[in-house]
Amino acid sequence: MSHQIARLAARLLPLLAAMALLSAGAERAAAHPHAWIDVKVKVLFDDKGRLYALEETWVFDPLYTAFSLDGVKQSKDGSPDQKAVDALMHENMKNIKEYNYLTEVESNGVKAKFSGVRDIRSGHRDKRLRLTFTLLLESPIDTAAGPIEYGVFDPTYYIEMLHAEGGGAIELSGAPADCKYRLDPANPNPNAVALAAALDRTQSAGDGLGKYFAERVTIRCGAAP
Amino acid sequence: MRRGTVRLALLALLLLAIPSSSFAQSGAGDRPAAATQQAEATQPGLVARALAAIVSEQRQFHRKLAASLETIRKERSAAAAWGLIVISFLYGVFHAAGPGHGKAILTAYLSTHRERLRRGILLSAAAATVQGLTAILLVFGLTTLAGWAARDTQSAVHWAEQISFVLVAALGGYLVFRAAAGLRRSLAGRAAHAHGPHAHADDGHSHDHCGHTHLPVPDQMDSARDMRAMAGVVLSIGIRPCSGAVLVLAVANLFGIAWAGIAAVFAMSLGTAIAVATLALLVLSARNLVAALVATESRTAVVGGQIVALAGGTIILALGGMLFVGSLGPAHPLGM
Repeated sequence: MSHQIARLAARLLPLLAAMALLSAGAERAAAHPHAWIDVKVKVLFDDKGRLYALEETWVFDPLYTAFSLDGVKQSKDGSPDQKAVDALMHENMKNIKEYNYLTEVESNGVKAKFSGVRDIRSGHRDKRLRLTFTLLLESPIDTAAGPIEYGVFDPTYYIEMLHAEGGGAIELSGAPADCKYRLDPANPNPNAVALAAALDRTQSAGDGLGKYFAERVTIRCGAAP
Repeated sequence: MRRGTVRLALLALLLLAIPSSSFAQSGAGDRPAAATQQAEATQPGLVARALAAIVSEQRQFHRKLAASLETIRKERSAAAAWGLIVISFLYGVFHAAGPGHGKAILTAYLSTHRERLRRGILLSAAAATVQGLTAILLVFGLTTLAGWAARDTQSAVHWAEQISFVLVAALGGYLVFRAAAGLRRSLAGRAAHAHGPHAHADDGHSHDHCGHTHLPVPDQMDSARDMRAMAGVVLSIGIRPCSGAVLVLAVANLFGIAWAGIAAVFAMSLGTAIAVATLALLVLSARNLVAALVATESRTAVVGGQIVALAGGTIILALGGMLFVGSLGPAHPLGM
């Protein structure tokens, strides 16, 4: 009988190992947005009609704002101390650098590299924190070479980042006259979501659940296919 | 005896199928990460669609919670508070309907250990309540009593999370130790009466009575040790507060409507308890159904049960370890 038990145990072990892995992966699927950011993007083109930077404005949600500003000195009208707001956003900028500023720019299947940010401004309006920065591409992208895509999202999907509603969230600044953009709302394929949810924490780095819930903006100019 | 073994294997297979399908990703887990393209091309399965629906439903809840907190701050009406409570309750249900660490532990424990249905419900409710209480104690203890800024509670949440994962691993270790000790006793008892099972080998499980007094039948298990395992399950799940609950509490406190935050957290706990208890009932009913096919006094069944318990403990131990290692990663870049 001990043989039977041993055989049974041997048959069980791979199953058990698989189950342990599944349950660890389960942790990822519990991820869902705990905050949201309304995003506005001004796409900047140089005088040769090349895309060289994105000027992004992030408007944080009221809960995140209240949560982050607790204990910050306020002026008489109830607005928070600008220095404290700057310090908070400076910290955020420092932290998101490692995550490519939660921004992805892609052209012909190649992801653009960023050389840095400039013109960082932070503020507070209508009970919401705001952050504006200009994200510079390492090498500008020629619009004639094909469509350019960008997306602003949190790969962990802890924060939902969508273009602000009500129009005007996207602006092409200095672009050739024949350039148009299209905003594709998130359309997560259930299989992709399930797959992403099953991924391990380490596997999910940079390519987690958030990507499947991200909006994509495509910019096409002239005869570009 | 052979038939008994086949039944046991069936039992084990079924028990394993329940928790893994409750994690709602049995279809996705076995694909490599590189297969995304392929995954997109195939028709989504029922489980995948359900998971996607839950995730897309969850994304709405945070906005609704924020909006109703804002309404209560402005109006301070019973109707507004009621709105928050209903949303919080649904938040709790949906939060629990998706896969998570609490359900992984509970299903792994319940599917591999003999517990009564009532105990399964009790465990689910206790874990959800402790989770709500942890959030309340943590937020009010740190902000109101200790004077921390709300955003600094995030580091405490992270600590609580890590303690929780260590407790999960400790619980798994305890269950492994307990099952291994039982198994050793069973096998030693069997060796001493080696003639017993062999003589009755062809009698089938229903006549294999010999030696049952030597084997620790789970029903006779020391109830104090059983309580220890149950307390371990409740604590390891409950000590990790839900970050949604912490956020709602902290913000309600800042808005001067702490009572609304507390009511919301209890509503979340109730929703979570109902959803998790439903799952626990499913797991236990299926377990009992299959266990009834195998005579409890059969030696193979007892030893098989101990092997299953050993495996369950190993899963929980591994789960705790993996969650802990995962928690050592960087915090969210935006300080949430």
